[in-house]
Amino acid sequence: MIIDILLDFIYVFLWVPVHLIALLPDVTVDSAFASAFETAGHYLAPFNSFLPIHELFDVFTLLVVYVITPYFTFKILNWAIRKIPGVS
Amino acid sequence: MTKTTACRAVLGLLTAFLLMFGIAHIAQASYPGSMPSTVSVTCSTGDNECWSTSIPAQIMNDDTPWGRYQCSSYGVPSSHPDDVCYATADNWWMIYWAGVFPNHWAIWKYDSASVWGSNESSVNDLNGTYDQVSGGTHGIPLIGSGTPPAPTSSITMLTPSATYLYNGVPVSGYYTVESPDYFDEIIFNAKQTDMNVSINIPDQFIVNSSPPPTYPVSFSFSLTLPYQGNYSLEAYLYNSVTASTSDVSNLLIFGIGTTTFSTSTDTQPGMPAPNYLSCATLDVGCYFKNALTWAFTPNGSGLNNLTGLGDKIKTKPPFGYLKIMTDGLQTIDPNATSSISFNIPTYIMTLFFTPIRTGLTWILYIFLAVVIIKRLEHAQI
Repeated sequence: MIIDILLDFIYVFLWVPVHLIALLPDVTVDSAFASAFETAGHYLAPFNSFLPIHELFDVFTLLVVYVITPYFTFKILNWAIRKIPGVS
Repeated sequence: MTKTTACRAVLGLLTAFLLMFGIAHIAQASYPGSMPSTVSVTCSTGDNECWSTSIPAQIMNDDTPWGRYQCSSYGVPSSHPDDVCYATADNWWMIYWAGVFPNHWAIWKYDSASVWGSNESSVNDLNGTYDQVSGGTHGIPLIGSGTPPAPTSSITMLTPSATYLYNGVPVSGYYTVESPDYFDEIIFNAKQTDMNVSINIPDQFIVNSSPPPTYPVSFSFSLTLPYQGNYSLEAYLYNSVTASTSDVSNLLIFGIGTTTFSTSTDTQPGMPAPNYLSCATLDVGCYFKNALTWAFTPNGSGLNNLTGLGDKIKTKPPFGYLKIMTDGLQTIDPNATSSISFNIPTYIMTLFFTPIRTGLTWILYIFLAVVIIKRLEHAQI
């Protein structure tokens, strides 16, 4: 019950900014971007049997998801909020 | 409440959402459901007209529903009713049974600037023009004329009309295969149709067994749904018989049934039900535990809502760049085939490299944990 109320509160609070962001166009990149990853995978494949290549990229992905996005977004928002007069 | 406290509370909520979004994103990115960039089309019987080429997977994704697509609907004047047509923005493709051999299929390609029937590329002209796909093969659903006969096989698939995220969805049913000699197995293809994302199904069912099965044959498996939305489940009869010593024909795929279902949005997303204790009449502590369980066990609808918000913006800037980055990293397949190989004796691998690899893996994960803990430790809320 308490967790649900908290989650519902977060949902209501985020509804407007999320729907504003949703108005933006989808992000696209050049198709060569995807093929570059595939090519890299083929070059790395022989080394995976005796080095943890797969795990290395898993860890890097986790770092991207957890550190780069939430943490730095938090830092940027924190910096912005501290610029509001009266907020220290 | 001071202004500073209020701002920090808001900031904390935003960070919590981003972490949830990250968790949800990892759950999606780790799913091996992405289509290859090209579809491998191989067909040969040892005949000198055999060919090998590839066509864009986008044909399968966007332009072609499963099953037969009659060329006449594309305005092809001389096509046979059983020919199969595909179209992209730039090209038309027609795949047809070339006769003589059961597995003898041919493909014609037409540029968008060309006119049907006047500037077609023959099978042999296509041979070698396109690179053979290296990222795996994917069959194209074909229904041919003549041989093999179009089967009258049938399948009944029973799925819940609405189910929950992350839960194992029971799928069951029964099938009848008219010409089991042509087919090895029934394969299932499931995808989330809103996002066009394939869902992995490890279970396959052999139909060409010995002794022959008594039809109808029952089957069942479980399907895990990682996304909200609508799903389709398709069943194909599949032939993976090696046609000759050097050529492999894996094109005989006949669609025999499809069904759809969707996730439920008004109930919990796969979370276990609250585990209430059975309390004695005067056991106050037990009642207190049940009260805490009631208070702190979420029903999941809140997480469902937040996941829905994440789905709305995961392809939008700046989050879309994160998704592209993580999806790209997930597609790196270190187990892919490579022209380079190292012939290391097994005993050296066992005694030397495997322990080193295990140790390095542990170091990597410990490093990740330390980094995340350090980041959270220094997050000045």
